[in-house]
Amino acid sequence: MVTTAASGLQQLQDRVLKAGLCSYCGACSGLCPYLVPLQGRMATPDACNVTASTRCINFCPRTGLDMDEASQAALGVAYSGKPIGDYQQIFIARSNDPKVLKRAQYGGAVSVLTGLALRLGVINKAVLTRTVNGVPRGVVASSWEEVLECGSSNYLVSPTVAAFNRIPASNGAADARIGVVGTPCQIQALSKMRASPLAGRSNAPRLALTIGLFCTWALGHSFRTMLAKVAPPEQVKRTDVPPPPARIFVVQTDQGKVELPLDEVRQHIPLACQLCADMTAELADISVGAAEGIEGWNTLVVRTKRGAELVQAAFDQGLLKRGELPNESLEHLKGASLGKRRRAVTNIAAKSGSQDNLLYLRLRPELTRRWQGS
Amino acid sequence: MSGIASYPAGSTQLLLGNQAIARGALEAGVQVASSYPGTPSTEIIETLAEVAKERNLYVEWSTNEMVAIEVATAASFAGLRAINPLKHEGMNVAMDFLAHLNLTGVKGGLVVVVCDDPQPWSSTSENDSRLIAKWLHVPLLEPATGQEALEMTKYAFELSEKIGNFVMLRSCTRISHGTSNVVVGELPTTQRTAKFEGTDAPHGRHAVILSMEPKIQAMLEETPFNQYQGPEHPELLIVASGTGRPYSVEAVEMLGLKDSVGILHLGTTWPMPKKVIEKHLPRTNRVLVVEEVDPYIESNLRDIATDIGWLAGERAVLGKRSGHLESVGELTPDRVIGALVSILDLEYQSTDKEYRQQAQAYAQKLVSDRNTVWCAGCPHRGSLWAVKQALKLDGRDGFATGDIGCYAMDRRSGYGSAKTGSVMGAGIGHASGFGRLGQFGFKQPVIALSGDSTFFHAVVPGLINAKHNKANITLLVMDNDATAMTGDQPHPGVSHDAMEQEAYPVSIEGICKGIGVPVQVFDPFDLDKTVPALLESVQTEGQEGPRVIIMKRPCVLLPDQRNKEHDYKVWIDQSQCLGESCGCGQYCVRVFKCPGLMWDRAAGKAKIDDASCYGCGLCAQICPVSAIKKEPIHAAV
Ligand SMILES: Cc1cc2nc3c(=O)[nH]c(=O)nc-3n(C[C@H](O)[C@H](O)[C@H](O)COP(=O)(O)OP(=O)(O)OC[C@H]3O[C@@H](n4cnc5c(N)ncnc54)[C@H](O)[C@@H]3O)c2cc1C
Ligand code: SF4
Ligand code: SF4
Repeated sequence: MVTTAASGLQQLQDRVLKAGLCSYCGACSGLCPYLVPLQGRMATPDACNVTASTRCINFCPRTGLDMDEASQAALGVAYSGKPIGDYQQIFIARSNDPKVLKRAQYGGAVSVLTGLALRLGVINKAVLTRTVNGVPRGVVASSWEEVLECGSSNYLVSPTVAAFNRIPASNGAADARIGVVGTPCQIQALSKMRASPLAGRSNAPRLALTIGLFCTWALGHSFRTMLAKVAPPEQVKRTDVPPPPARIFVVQTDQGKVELPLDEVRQHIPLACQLCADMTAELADISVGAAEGIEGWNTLVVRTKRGAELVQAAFDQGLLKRGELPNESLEHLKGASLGKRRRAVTNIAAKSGSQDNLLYLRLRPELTRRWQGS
Repeated sequence: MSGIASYPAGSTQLLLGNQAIARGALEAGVQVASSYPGTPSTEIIETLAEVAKERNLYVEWSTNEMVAIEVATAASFAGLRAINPLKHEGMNVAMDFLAHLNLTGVKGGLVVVVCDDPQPWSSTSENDSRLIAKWLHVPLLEPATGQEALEMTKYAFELSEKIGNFVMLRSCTRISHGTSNVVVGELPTTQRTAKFEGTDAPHGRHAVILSMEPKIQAMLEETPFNQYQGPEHPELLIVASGTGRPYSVEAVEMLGLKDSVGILHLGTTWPMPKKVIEKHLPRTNRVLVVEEVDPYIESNLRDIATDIGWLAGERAVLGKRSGHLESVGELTPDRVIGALVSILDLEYQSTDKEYRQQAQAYAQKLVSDRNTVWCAGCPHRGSLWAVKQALKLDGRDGFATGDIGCYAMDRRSGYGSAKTGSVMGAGIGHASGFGRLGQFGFKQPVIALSGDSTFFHAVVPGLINAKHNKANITLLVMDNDATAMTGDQPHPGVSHDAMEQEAYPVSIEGICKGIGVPVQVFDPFDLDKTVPALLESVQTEGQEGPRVIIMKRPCVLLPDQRNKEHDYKVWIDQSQCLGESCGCGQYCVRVFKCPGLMWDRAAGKAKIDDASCYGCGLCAQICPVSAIKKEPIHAAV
């Protein structure tokens, strides 16, 4: 071991954290005492001295994300770079259970599918995101009640993958089948972990299901101060970003609805999100988002066989109601997703100072050119 | 009878310099002794406290040095003899009062013993307290041996009463902590009755004490403490005081210079014994002054030598100002030898250079590389771990303002949160100041550190200042039931005093509440609670005024803690330990650094050093994979 080399942690600090690339996905965390997610930032209380190939730099999607490798590991195919990724089916759906609809963000498809996967034994642990005191963090759910407690979206960045990492490798985790619900960056991290030579020192081999959430951007934790002016965290029931042309951020509290001007809210989007090229969680088994213009419904994108089987079971058991996604909605979704790709590669090039240097993002050149719009 | 009170008059005893001073005070009929612990002065009070009951003395560890000298002075005002031993840094605290007491004068003999710590071994600063005597126009005595320490202390009381002012006795680490044979004298059989009849006001007394100086000088000239030893007309005259005297004797003997170098031993160094000097200077053309720390005698001697017209032509006063000796660091016989060799142009090699290098290299192999560390089981490790975690997690470049106590090690060998550290009470004072820099763009969180004894000593005014002036800071008080750094002496927060009698324990929490500061009390080993509490406290934005967090757990060196059975059996399951690999990186031995943890080189894993481990179980909380196991030894834990 070369002792003069920078530790893995030091490299992560230099290449990702200090460079403003960190999306706070949590993939580097929960593995050691040196990376602690706190308030939207990876804190590093102590210096690590491990200079050999370390998990933090190997798992972090922002030290370098080869989309072909990630796609092979997650979906078993080379990366196509299509606007909303590769998929088998796309449709809209919603839960049939009023209790779920009351708690969920939109149609509750995510909660229903997670609950069903647990019940069927497809997975026996679900890594979800739960909000406590206004702050989202990863939790491990193994019952329907726990799944429901995580319902609805928190727009703050959340280090959810850390909870996946923290599931102990001993104590019977060898037979753990883990499902994860996460934003695109979190699903990317899991895919990179699967592809990594250090996958064996992670829970990646036990990853049995990924449900991705659509994501245009998330918010840094500085937004908490803005939100706290509307209501104290415990009174915030739900937040939502209605589709354009509405330029508002809706906060539902015990007292009623408050609308914040979206432009002000957007001030809190971290740089990392502006460099993100994935809107539809294209590496997940199933991706779920809003059904724009159809209130209380979800758009579902099914990408893998195991995703399709789970969705089918949900229909068979009458847990989900299915509907067709209108063609114009699909076109609109593709447009929005491509728009995010274009903005991302533009922003990355602006940051790196070169059209050919996409920092962390490793794409085949023709894709780069396509997204750059030339 | 016990301790120093049990020695029969005329017997020879093996005594620490500090014990000799205590015995001298006892022989002089001291009735009151007060101080604040401070190395190397502490044993004087401890020795007197031991015999307080049987000798009917009043001995106290005071809240701080200024209170201590005021307490001792009260006894003097009431006609009793009193002693006030201090370390040099304590002297600075006492100075505010002493710089007025010299004007007021005293009644009963009052001796201020100041123990300097050249190098410094156990202090933050190295300074020379002798200049204070000159500044305050009070007599200064400098013993060089244990016997002199006793004799001079006794004489100091007499002198003090004769001149109606206090007398300074200057010791230093090697005198106070050196052990030598001392022939002891008689102990008095009677005591004085205390009665106060008023004092002079200090105003307008400067002229009076100045006019006293020649009289004092005359008295000191008569004492047996200044002696010449050597040939009639030496080639070089050494003028030495304190440790400089035995070191000079040793150097002259080693170099075989008895016939060519004379030594003028000075025991009374303010006012300088002018006549003694006048008498011996003309013996030679060159003088080397050997003294501890500053060129104090050297400068004064130069004045006298110029006044009497000796210093002219080829004649020279050599020493620190001429570069033959250093003003920095402790004086040693080697340094004196070096000066003599250079002045007299001698061939001398104390040890062969190559031999020395080889010996050093070999010795280095035998000792392990060790820094100053907190004891295994020390509560400070938990407290300062939490401070580090909270400040680093917060991530805004927060820092701790340090203070004086065992926790000061955080700065050098601990977790490095403390970025300042000079004198007692400065931590809270600095914090109070930093806490008001917001208007100039200052955003870093600040945690002021304090011990329990320090809290009483000097932190309360700073805390009041922070409260009154709305400084947004956190004060961490590490309450370990003792003045730990100097050897676990009692302080106002504990329920016994220096004489092991019951005392009223003043509540730190109560004081804070009285000031109107929010207080939380934690066990420093409860990291699950302390880290979030400190984090929350440093993140309290826009809050006006300080918050106090008290960490309460006794020092492990307190007798009842030292002798009790361990709380936990602690061991490491090496099959789980990640060692040097990713996920750990020797976190426990490298970052957490308790001496109870050691590195098993053969296994490449950590292990518990059963001989050092205190069984506190703290490390089990920080192991990233819970490979450190703990099991309560008593069901009750
Ligand atoms: C930061 C963020 C941005 C989003 N942006 C868009 C968007 O632009 N367009 C769009 O169509 N949809 C977006 N979504 C997805 C959308 O809000 C819903 O999560 C999704 O449609 C599923 O709805 P549901 O009713 O099935 O969810 P539910 O059944 O309520 O389940 C929601 C799930 O989201 C997870 N979750 C909540 N907060 C977070 C978080 N911060 N990070 C990771 N997981 C979290 C929880 O684990 C929970 O299981 C976003 C979600 C997030 C968290
Ligand atoms: S992007 Fe994710 S893995 Fe990378 S540093 Fe940030 S939190 Fe860690
Ligand atoms: S925009 Fe990208 S980086 Fe930001 S939270 Fe969403 S998926 Fe993660």
